[in-house]
Amino acid sequence: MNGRKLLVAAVVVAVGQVAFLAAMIQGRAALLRDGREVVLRTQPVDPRDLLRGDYVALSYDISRVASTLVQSPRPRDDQPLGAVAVRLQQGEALQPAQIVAVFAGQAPGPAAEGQIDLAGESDTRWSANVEEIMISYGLERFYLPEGEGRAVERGMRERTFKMVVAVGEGGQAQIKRFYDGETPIYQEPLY
Amino acid sequence: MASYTERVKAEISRWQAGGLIGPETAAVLTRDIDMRRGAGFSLGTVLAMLAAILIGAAVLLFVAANWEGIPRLLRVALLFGLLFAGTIGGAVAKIRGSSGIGEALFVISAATFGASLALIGQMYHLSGDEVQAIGTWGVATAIASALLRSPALCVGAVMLAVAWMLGTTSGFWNEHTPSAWFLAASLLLWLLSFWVNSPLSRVGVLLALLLYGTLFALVRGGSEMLSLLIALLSAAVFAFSVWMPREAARFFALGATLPALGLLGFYWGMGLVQIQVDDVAAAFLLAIVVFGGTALALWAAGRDNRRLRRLAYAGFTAELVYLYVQVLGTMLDTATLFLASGFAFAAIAVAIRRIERRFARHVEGTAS
Repeated sequence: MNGRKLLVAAVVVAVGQVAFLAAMIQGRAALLRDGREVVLRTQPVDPRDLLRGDYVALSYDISRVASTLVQSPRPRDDQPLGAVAVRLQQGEALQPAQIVAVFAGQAPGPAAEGQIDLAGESDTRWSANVEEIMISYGLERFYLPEGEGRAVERGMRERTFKMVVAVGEGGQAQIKRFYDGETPIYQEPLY
Repeated sequence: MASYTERVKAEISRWQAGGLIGPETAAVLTRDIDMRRGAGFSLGTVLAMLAAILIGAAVLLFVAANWEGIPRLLRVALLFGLLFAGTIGGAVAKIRGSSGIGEALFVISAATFGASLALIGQMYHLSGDEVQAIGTWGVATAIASALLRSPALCVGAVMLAVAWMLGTTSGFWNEHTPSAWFLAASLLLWLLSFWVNSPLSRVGVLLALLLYGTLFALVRGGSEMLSLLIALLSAAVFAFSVWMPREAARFFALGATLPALGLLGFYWGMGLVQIQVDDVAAAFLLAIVVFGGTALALWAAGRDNRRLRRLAYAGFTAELVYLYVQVLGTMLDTATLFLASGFAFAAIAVAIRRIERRFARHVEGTAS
């Protein structure tokens, strides 16, 4: 490979990689800016070891769902559910949203007024006697500066914490504001 | 590997002393071998690569610390700047002839790309797609390797592909088999390794495939057949490398390493079968297969391949230890097996000595 070609290739690689990363940032920022807001009640995952590395591991009220809420099409037995759409009824002000229904795959129709569809993923293997399914939304982590996690972790054991989440058109969710009771403790900037 | 050049030099002086070559030819050959050694290893290159790995790790940790002393948008800009500097600086270094420094800079920029992905994950609290992020990182590194024709990045892409594959199993004991997409990725990386001329990547891919098969066999409990398949495929690779050397040079281009890898895979697969079998008769049979395979491998390729010989000794010893510790019910049974195997090996040794002597006579006959 001669010199000029290599230099051109290097520019292409650098510009391409930076463009890819910038597009990722832009997509997330757009979600924060334009997404509809929904309030979720959150709690720590494991009472002893919440903080792994520099994030708090979270779970939500809507992370465990009664299997009776799962609507047709009925999933196949013994197969992980995979992608699900979770329909939520939005609460007033900072009231947490409530689950209306869970659809395996895509939601069959648009959500009603005051409702919102959230995209999730479930590893739970379906069978007739499954009572509860576990769903993850890509919201299960809250990153904090090194060393700040412990205070949040202690607080979450004692009080109710809530998360305001921005939801895009496809149901993709993005953490937006973190509430200790009614007080916002972290607010995410766009960039 | 310094011993290789030493040995060739010893041969050269022996040829010269024996009158096979003149002093001029000897001098030319010695100079040539010295130059090749210079091309293979350079302390500067190695140190540059180690420095790159350290700097890359520092960048990744810097992001992980999530330090708020620098606003995060500035952190993004710093990483993007480093990415540019590494890639373009690396190209400039290579154009100026410092190939090692150039590769090292490419490695730093690849690490920076991974750090940027981690930073974005942190900025927007993305959870649950680390595996996907590692996959993205690997794809980007592979593309960069192809465009920049960088062997170091190819090795990096192989390592990221392995990390991704391990991520898709999420641990040994649950029921996820590693993603089958890894096989497609292996094929692409294999082709890439030829394009950028990186035999190390090919060794990495082969070892990774061995790991893939192992995980697959372990996750699917009670899968002796799968393990046996690993052993058989490895034996096939070995046979291919020994009996079709020209094709092997074209499709693998790994020289003497390939038969050694084939033998390693054979031992590995047989070992996997053995840890899953607790029937004494089957263990006995498997041990005979391993001993037979060892003898066959030594016969087929042991003469010119020191690495293979050492591996064969190691495999042979491991099998002995395994039998001694694990399988046969009583010491008397084990002793009987060892005695029988010993006789079998002795018989093979005598037969091979005869063949070799006849072969040597034949060669002398045609030479004179």
